Parts: sequence; structure tokens; C-alpha cells
Amino acid sequence: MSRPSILPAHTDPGSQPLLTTPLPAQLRLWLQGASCCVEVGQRVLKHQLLAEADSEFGVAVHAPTSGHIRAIGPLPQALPDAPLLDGLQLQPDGLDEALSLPAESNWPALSALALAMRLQDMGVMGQHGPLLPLAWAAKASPLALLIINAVENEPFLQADSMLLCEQAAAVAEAMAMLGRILQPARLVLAIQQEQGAAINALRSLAADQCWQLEVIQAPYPAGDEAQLLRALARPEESGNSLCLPVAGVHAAGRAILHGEPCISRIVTVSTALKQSHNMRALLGSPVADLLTCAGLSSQQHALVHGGGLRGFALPDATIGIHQHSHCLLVRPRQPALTAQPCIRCGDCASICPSQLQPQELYWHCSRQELAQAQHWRLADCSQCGLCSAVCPSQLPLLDSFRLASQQLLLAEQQQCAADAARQRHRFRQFRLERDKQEKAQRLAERAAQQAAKLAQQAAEPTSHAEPTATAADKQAAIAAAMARAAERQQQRPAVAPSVNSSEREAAIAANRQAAIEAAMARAAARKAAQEAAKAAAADAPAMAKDEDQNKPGLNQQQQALIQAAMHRANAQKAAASSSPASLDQDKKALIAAAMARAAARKAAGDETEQDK
Amino acid sequence: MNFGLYLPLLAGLAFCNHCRRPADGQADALALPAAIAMGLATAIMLLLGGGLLTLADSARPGLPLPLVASVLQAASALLLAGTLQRLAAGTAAALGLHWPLLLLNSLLAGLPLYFLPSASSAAASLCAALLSAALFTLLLAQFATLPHRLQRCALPARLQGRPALLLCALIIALALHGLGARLS
Amino acid sequence: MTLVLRLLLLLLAIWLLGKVLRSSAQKLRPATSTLPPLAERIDAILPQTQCGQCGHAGCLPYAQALARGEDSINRCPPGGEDGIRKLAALLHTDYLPFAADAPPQKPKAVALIDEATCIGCTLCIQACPVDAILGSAKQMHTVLADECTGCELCLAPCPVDCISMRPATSQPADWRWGYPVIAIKAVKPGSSS
Repeated sequence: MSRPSILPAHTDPGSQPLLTTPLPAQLRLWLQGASCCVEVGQRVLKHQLLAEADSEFGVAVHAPTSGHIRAIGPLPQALPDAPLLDGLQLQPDGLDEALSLPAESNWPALSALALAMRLQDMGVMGQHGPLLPLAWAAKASPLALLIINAVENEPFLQADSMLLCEQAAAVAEAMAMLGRILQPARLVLAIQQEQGAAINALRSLAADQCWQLEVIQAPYPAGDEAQLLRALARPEESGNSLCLPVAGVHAAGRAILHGEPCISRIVTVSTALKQSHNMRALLGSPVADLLTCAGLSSQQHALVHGGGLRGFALPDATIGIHQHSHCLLVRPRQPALTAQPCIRCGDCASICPSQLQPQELYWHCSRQELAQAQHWRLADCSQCGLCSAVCPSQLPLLDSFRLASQQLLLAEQQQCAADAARQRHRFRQFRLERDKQEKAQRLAERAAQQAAKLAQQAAEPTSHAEPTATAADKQAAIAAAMARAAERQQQRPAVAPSVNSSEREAAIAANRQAAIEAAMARAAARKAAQEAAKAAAADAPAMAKDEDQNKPGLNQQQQALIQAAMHRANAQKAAASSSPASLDQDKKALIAAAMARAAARKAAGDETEQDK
Repeated sequence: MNFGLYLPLLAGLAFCNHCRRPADGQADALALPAAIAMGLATAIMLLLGGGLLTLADSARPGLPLPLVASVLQAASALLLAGTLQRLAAGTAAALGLHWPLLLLNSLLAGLPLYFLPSASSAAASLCAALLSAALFTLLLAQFATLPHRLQRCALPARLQGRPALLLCALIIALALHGLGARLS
Repeated sequence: MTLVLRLLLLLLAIWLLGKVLRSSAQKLRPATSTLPPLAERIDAILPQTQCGQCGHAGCLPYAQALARGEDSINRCPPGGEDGIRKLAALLHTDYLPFAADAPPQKPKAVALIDEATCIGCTLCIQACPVDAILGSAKQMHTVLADECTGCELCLAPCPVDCISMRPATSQPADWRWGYPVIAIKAVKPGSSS
């Protein structure tokens, strides 16, 4: 089977106008990697911040229109077999009152990291997480090649072409903005040969701009990052290049130049009859609304989210669309096809763009022989879905490859965790051993001291010099501990500004760092207390012996014990007062935040458990 | 003797060779190198036996051919086995190059060559020896990879394992018989 | 003439056989001198929960016992059947199923300290084999979820029973990677048409 016969020819979107969906009755927005900052029942305005990113991979969520928050809780995800995910339901009030957000007036002065964080705040999403990965932006390495990916990543799709036709000038503006801030050595807009209308729209703008238009002729999986890099990057550039989807770039332009957060996207609703509609839909609009807008009913059709090759069936039509919903395929309901045994026709091997042997891979993946699957280069599979599409036996090739590569990833993570645990366990053993040795050493020293003291006592009956000396020692130890704590306290603010600047990006690390530092401070205080207590205990017998001469036996012993206890209590008090002091305001706040987050996560965990 | 009998004989011999392989994980990993090594060893024995026969024939003509040929083939097999034992005993054992098997291969694959109708000229007999060794290697490699491929077929439980392999050997032998009958 | 040709072919075949033998000899003995000792290779396979369910004080003692041949390979419930298969392949022994009285296998879980109940006794800190619990005397303790191996050794010493095990994978945050184009869980055959 040759490739063109199974892939439908790309149709130009020029004939169909861009539709706009009417305001839906309810919007469902997910909060993935974002923490909610509104309450149930609150009225929100369009563009208002609903949730802010709480991790490196999350993006902020903004209200697509004005309305009331009806519920915050777990919602089904647009993923097969995925658990419920926290989300919020927004009921629009139809007024569409917008909050006016200020545009970034001095955007050319933004650094790459500041831009990445601003985009994250504006809810602009790329392939995985925020459009510009924060970890990449923080490194701030010079960028050799920036590819804006306008190649449709599936057949049937027209969302990107439509965006380019309608908003060519805005996209060009956004690209110029990115080029200005990120300073790539080469900025390329990649587009496929079939997207004729979009090419025409861009060609007039491409003259004397900082970016080039690259027309790609490769067939289907050309829209993948790896394929694009292979096609466009020169060998010396392939190490430090970045590939951004054009929809995200357009949203970034709106966000930075006009101050509008990302609240909508263009979705292709396509049927098998080759009629497709492109519509701009608010994020969170139920799928059913999009279908009604396209003149279809969700009852009689099966829905596929994503493209025809990589997509998956949606269980129901109430699920809201999200930033990656570039396509909805509507197909007549068919009885599920059952997989037949492989007949070794070799179609999958001949169509595979990575030159793999999918039938071999499938055999090993289905038997859970992951080592063999790796040997057959499972890692090179781009999961394009062509093999599943051509398989005459309807084998679930793509699904098994996805599953197997996830299992491999999981095994890798487990191995990393095991290595870390081994290291921690070894260190703990080393620490225990060291502590034991130190204790033995201390005991030996003390015994020697006492022996010396006894000998001294035998020589001259009364001397007060010794106890005061140990008391002085103890004082010195406490002072040293306090000084150390103070030093650490001073070091902390010195680190703080840099933490502030990349606060959210370092949030996960800081969270743990703070806990560890607090524990270290506590440990230092405790150590000081122990030392003091031991010193007190050490000189208590000596004092008791000093007073031995002129007081009756039992009474003296009691008094000595009381004295020692008082010493210890004093020392402990001193330590206790020093340990809160060592936690400065900033650290406290961080710990409080960490605890709050832990509590929230726990609550979330409880809820999902209950759901199960 | 003709090719119609000789080629199926090679198939049967390859099947016998395969049945003598141990069935553990290490043998699985070395199945293909073992097949190639046995094929090469057979080629060496055939070439050596043929060469020695030519020499013996030119030195003392008139000896009975069956006796001389079997003695020389056995001698070449034992010579090779001894050399392997001396130079690479462990590897040879792991690859299944034991002396009984070498002797069997040398005799069964080598002797009929001298009685084929095409073995009239020296060049033709050399060619036949080379081709038979090549075919034998191919058959060994075929049997080395067959079990894995048979696993993937939805065979009835009764046929799993050795019976399926035997059936395959029969089919191959029949096909080779057809080919050989056409050749001779 | 044919004799010379025969001799040449003979030499060629001998040379090829030598190459095959040499390459398979390398495959048979993959430079044993460069490999770490057997106990360390076994330890690398074990899941490092340090839970002691095998009857040894940790993963390394179990690995050493295995290397000496003093214990059987089916004593590690956290490793699962997969772990037994790997051990069997490394030690060139047969696969051995779990004994009937072996502790059951559980999904990976992390300990969680109920902060309201914790009295700050530090007993769990002393029990934790990987130092995954933070806290000091009379202060609330907490578990570093990333470092917790789920060994359950902290459950027994707790005088107020404030530690519970929570499944490690039920949090939506664990679904972060691959969001959302790549499905995270098993896709049922036929669900993507």
C-alpha cells in the first residue's frame, strides 16, 4: 500500500470561513500544574486569573469569559483511562465583561527567563507545559536555531493553516518579538507544501524580515519536532535549537504585545466525508457545542480527539477542549474491530518513517519483553500511528508501543529512585558508624578526664578552678553554635534575591531546600543542647565531690542532681530560643507554603482515592 | 546417488544437528553463530577430504573408492576436531562442534558427493562441495531461527515444539527433493 | 590448478571459522575482569527499599547472601516477579515463584505522617533506613515523599500510630510528563480507532 492512498490529501482551508462558536452554557477548565485562586460562587471577569502555575510544568488558567464559578473539583480528562483531574466549572453570564490587562510596554527589555515566566502567567502552552520551558530559559544558552512549527501534525488538520491565513500579520509580529528577545542565530517558519493558502499569506510578509519561510515537502510525520530538526537543522545547530508550535507563538504575541492571556484556540472539526470546519473556540467549551456549531449531533457519532492517526476516542461529549485539542474527528459509529493475528504482510515495516520493524516490536511489546523491544529500537519510534493505520489485522500497534515506552520510562525512573535510595542508605550507615565512633571517643575522653580529676582531687582536696573551666567551655560551645546559626541566617538573605527572581522556577527545589535547612538548623540547635547537657552532666559529679567534704551524703547527692537538671534545662531553653531565631521570616513563609501545598496535595489525593 | 536424494539428506542432517543443540538461554543467543560455525567446519572437511582424495588417487591409483573416501572423510573430521580441541576447546564446545557430530556431518555430507553423476571433473566436484556446504549452512541457520518464528504462529498445542519442527524439516526435504530431481 | 584453488578456499574457510570462534568467544565471556563483583551486580537489580522482608538487614546483605548462594531468589516482594526473573537470568538459575507464605506484593506506597497526632518521639526517624523522615524531638515529623521507599519500617515503632501508607501513584501531579498528548496509562486495544 503506498502512502498517498491512505493519507487523505490536505485540503486548503480557503474555501471554508473561520467560524466562531457561540458562548457555551458551561466551561470546564482543568487545573493541571496550577493552583486555583478563586472560590466557588465568585464572579469572575474575562481574562481574570483563575489559577496560577505552581510547578515548572504548569501554566496559569484565565477566565475565557465573564461568569460565575460553579464548582471546583475533579473532572474527567480528555485522555483514555485517565483518572479525574481537578478542574473548575465556569458558568458564563453572557455579558463578556473583560478585565483590561496592561500590555507589556517595554517588552524588548525582557530576558528569556522573564519572557518564559510571563508566558507561563499568561497561560500560553507549548508541546509540553509552558511555551518556553523554564529550565531551558533559566540556562540562557545562546540559541542557534528557532523553528516555528506550522506544519500540520496530522492529516485532516487545518487549524494551523487557518491561523496563518487569518492572522498572518499577528504571527509575523509574534515571531519578530520572539526573535528580538531570544536572539536566535536563525529563525525559521516551517510549513508544508500543501498549505498553499497559508504560504501565499506569509510570502508577502516574509520579505525583509528576520525570519525565513521553509517549505517542507516530506510526507506526514514531518510535523514532529525530531523530523523537523532533522530536516532543517544544520549539524552544528542540532544541539541547541528549539521548536515551537505556531499556535503557541501566536498566543505569545497576543500575550506580550497586547496583554491578552490565551483563552481560545482554533479547532478543526472534521468528518470522514472530507468536510471540515475550523472554528475558534474558547478553552473549556464542551465538545458537544463545537459539534452543534458544525451542524453535527454528538449522539450518532463517535468522537476522536486529536488526529485520525494519533487520536483517541472520547468517552462523552461534555469534556471541555484544552490547548492541545487541535482536532476533533467525527465518525459514524462502527462496531469495534477485533485484532487478528499478524499475517506478516510487511506493510507496517514499509510505511514506518523511522525504518523500524513494527511487527517484531509488537511481538516483543505484547509479550512484555522490554529489553528485546529496546533492541529493536523502540526508542526510535516517533509514535506516528502509520503502522496501526495500515495494519490489515487491526493490531493495536501504536497503543502497545505507547504503553511499552511508558513502561520503559517508568522502569528508568524506578532505577533512578533505587539508586538514590541506595546512596541514602549507605550514607545513613556511614553516619551511624561515624556517630558511634565519635560517641565512643567522647566517652573515652570523659573517662580520662574524670580519672585525671580524681587524681587531682587526691592531690589537693578543694579546687574551684576546674568546674569554672568546664563551664567556660560549655559557654563557648553554646556561643559557637549561636554564631553558626547567625551565620547561616545571614547567608540565607544573600541567596534570597536570586531565588526571588526565579522563584516559581525554583519552587520545587526551594520547597525541599527549606525543609532541609530548617532541619539542619534544628539539628544544630539540638547538638548544641546535647553538648551543653553533657558538659553539665560532666561537671555535676565534680561539683558534688567538691561539696562532699562539708555536707551530709544523701542531701548532697540530691542537690547535685537538681543542679545538673537545672543546668540542662537552662541549656535546653537557650537552644529552644535560638532555634526559632534561626528561621528567618522568608524561610518560615516558604515552609508554610510547602506545608499548605502538601496539605492541598494530600486533600487531592484523598479525593481521587474516594473517587476510585 | 543423485541430487534428488542428496539434497533431502542435507535437510535431514541439518535437522539432526539442530536436535543435538542444548536448549538453554546461552544456546539461544549463540544459535546463529553456531550454525555458521558448523557450516564452515563442514566446508573445511569437504574441501580437505576432496583434496586428500585427489592426492591419494594420484599417488596410488586403483584403490577402491568407497573405502578410501570414507577413511579420508573420517580422517579430515577427526583432524579438524583435534585441532579445535587443541586451539579453542571451550568455544568449540559451546558452539556444538563435538567430534561425533563432525564425523557424522563429514561422512554423510561428504561421501555421496563422490558418487554424484556430476562429479566427473575436479572443478565440478569442487563446485559441488562448495555449494553443498553453502546449502547446509543455510539449512542450519534456518533451523536455528525456526523455533522463534514457530512460537508466533497460532499452532495447535499438539504441534508446539519438536513436532512442528519435524514437519518443517519434512516440507524442506520435499522441496529440496523436487529441486534435486530437476537438477539431476 | 583446481588443487591450488581448493587450497585457497580451504584457507579462506579456516580463517572464517577462526573469526566466528573468536567473536563468539567474546560473546561467551564478556570481559569478566571489568565487571563489578557479583554481590554488587545483584544489589543493582534489587529495588533498594531496604525493607528487610527478605529476612536480611537490607538489600546489600541479601545480595551478598545470594552471591554466596545461601538464600533463594524469591524473597524480595517489592522486586516482584520481574525482579525474580532478572535475578534468575543473572545467576543462571531457574525462575522460582514466591513461596506461599511470602509477604504479599503491594503497589508502591509512601508513608504519610498525620501531623495532628505526631508527638515528636523521633522513633520513626531512627527506624527509617533512607533518612526520609525529618523532624526533631517534640517537633512534628514529616516524610520526604520523594525519598520514601515504602518499606513500612516506620509503622511499627510509632507509639501513637500516626503513620499510614498512601499509594504513590494516585496523585494527579504524577501524571505530569507527556501531558496531554501522550496517554499515560495502558490504552485498551481498539480504543483508538
